[in-house]
Amino acid sequence: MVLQLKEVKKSFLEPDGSPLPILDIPWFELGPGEQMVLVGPSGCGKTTLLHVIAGISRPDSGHVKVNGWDITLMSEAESDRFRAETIGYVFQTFNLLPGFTALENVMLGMRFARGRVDRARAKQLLERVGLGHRLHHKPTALSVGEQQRVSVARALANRPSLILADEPTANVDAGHQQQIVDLLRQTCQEEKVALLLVTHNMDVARQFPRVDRLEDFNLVLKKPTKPNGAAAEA
Amino acid sequence: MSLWLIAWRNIQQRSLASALTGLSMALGVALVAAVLVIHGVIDRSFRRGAQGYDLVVGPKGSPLQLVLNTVYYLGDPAGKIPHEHYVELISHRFQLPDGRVSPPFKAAIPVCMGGSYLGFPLVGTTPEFFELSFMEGEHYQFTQWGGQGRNMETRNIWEAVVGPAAAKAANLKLGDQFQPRHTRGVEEEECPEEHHPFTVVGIFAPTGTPNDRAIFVNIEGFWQMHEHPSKDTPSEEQTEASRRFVSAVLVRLDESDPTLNAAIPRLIEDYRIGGVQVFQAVHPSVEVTKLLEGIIGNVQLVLLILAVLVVVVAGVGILVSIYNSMNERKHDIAVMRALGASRLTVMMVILLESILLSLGGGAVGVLLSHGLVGLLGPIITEHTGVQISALQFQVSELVLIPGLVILASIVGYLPAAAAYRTDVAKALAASP
Repeated sequence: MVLQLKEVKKSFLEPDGSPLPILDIPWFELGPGEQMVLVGPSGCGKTTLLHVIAGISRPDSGHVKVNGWDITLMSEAESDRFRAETIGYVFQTFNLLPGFTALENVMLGMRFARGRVDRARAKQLLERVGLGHRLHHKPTALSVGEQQRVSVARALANRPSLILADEPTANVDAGHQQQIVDLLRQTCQEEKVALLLVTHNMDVARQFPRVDRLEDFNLVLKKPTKPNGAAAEA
Repeated sequence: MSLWLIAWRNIQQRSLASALTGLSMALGVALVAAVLVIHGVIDRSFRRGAQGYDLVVGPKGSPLQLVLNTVYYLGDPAGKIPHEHYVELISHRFQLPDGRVSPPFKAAIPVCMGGSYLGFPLVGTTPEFFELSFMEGEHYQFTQWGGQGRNMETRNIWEAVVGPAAAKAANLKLGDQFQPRHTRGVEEEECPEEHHPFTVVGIFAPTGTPNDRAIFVNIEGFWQMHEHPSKDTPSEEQTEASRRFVSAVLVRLDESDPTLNAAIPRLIEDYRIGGVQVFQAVHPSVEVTKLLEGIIGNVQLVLLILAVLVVVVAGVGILVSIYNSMNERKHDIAVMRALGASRLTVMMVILLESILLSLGGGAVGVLLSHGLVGLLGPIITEHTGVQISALQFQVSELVLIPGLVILASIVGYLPAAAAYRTDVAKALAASP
């Protein structure tokens, strides 16, 4: 398995000091190269789950294994390095660094992973997402759709095993949503990367062979469902 | 992609604030560099001027005044030595208590002060003045390095040799004749008597010493000029002793016996003529060192402290600039962390940003100060005789590099620590 979660629990503290449960996931798996969607309403903890998987946040208990490595047992520095090398992250708001060109934004992730930057691969990735002519443009000079394509290229830069995409179409107009989904699915397939995409957009979810739900705000992950979004329609 | 480039991009991202912060650092460093350069030039110039002679012998009085007037042509002469005393001094053989007798002076050049031409000091001396080196291994040049003409001759008493800075400023060329005034500081119109003119026969190449801005005339001509009656020196009061005088004697000692040489100043001071001690003998380099380390050194120290304070204030400006930007940059820092940058890495980026701003501002400051020195150099040379150019770097300026890095690290620490503590999940959740 590329990703395994076991008995993962996380809660935040309320202002009065009492715990507010956010995640309670008894079991979750994602296979190599698998593509799936996790759906749920806004604020149900989808982003928190991705942060926990990426090692950005620590769970209160449980285990998160990526490629068999339990990141909950790693030190912060180790999990930073592991994240850079193993996990690609596509943000809802793209999160390109404004001072850097498209090419530099892609290379930035490489710098933090191994310290070595493969400029040729960064260019190749940008060409693959259709931005070969926009390499040296800064984010402010790119359209919204182009910015998200740069962020996809950046997520793939270090040949990760897993891509986590957090509402990648939420800030993109309807015309570009399908392009982004197609791009993510196609590039992940070509690079043989597992894709876990969270969204509240059912049109997006329906296109994936596997859809799981986080629901009811008690944030319990349901058992794996039938492919093609059957569960999502429930 | 190095961390330096990441830091540089961050600086570019806030170009106006960065430029202003860097400029304040540049001005502070320019001030420090200017103080160091000017002090270095003054120090070198003073020490250079003091190297030509082992001793300056003059009438009793202030040793510093004697050296300043004789070697640097500053202030008034310490007094007069009657010519016969001078003759007696140079012919005397001093004897130590152990019986050793000093050899004759290697050179004992009389100099007479008193008079000027267009503000440049007039020095009566002998041609021997230009036959000795003005520094170890460096001789006056009349035929190369910009020198012109020749040395004056003993028999031609109305000949003059002019320093290059004085020649340029007073527009004196070979063959020109000029009439100096009796005493320095007297306006030309107040001195109605016509003196016999001196003729310029030589302009020596620049030496980087105060001699460059002096005018040297044959000592006999100098005396005869002072024979000329004037309101300051009524002819009826003139005596032979007051007519033929020297202000000081520039002495170079025989180097064969250093212990004997060390005792000579004391022996000269103890020497009595008519039962009276009439001389003082001082090492010009010792007096100059006292001056540099005393008055000038303290002034320089105060200036340096003020300049360093300006740099520190500029450093605090960098701190404020980066620290104020941390709120708006938290999101970017969180993105870098999410991409895999460690806490230490983002901390380093902020520190490097601070170092780049400091060093960049510092480099501009050094260029600025040397550029100004280069622009003002010709004017300074013309007025002081001190050779100064934009390329005169001081070794002490090298201290600026580690100094700025340390300062930048200190002022960059606070914002760097803020970057270190950034809560990634919270910052990512906030809108960019």
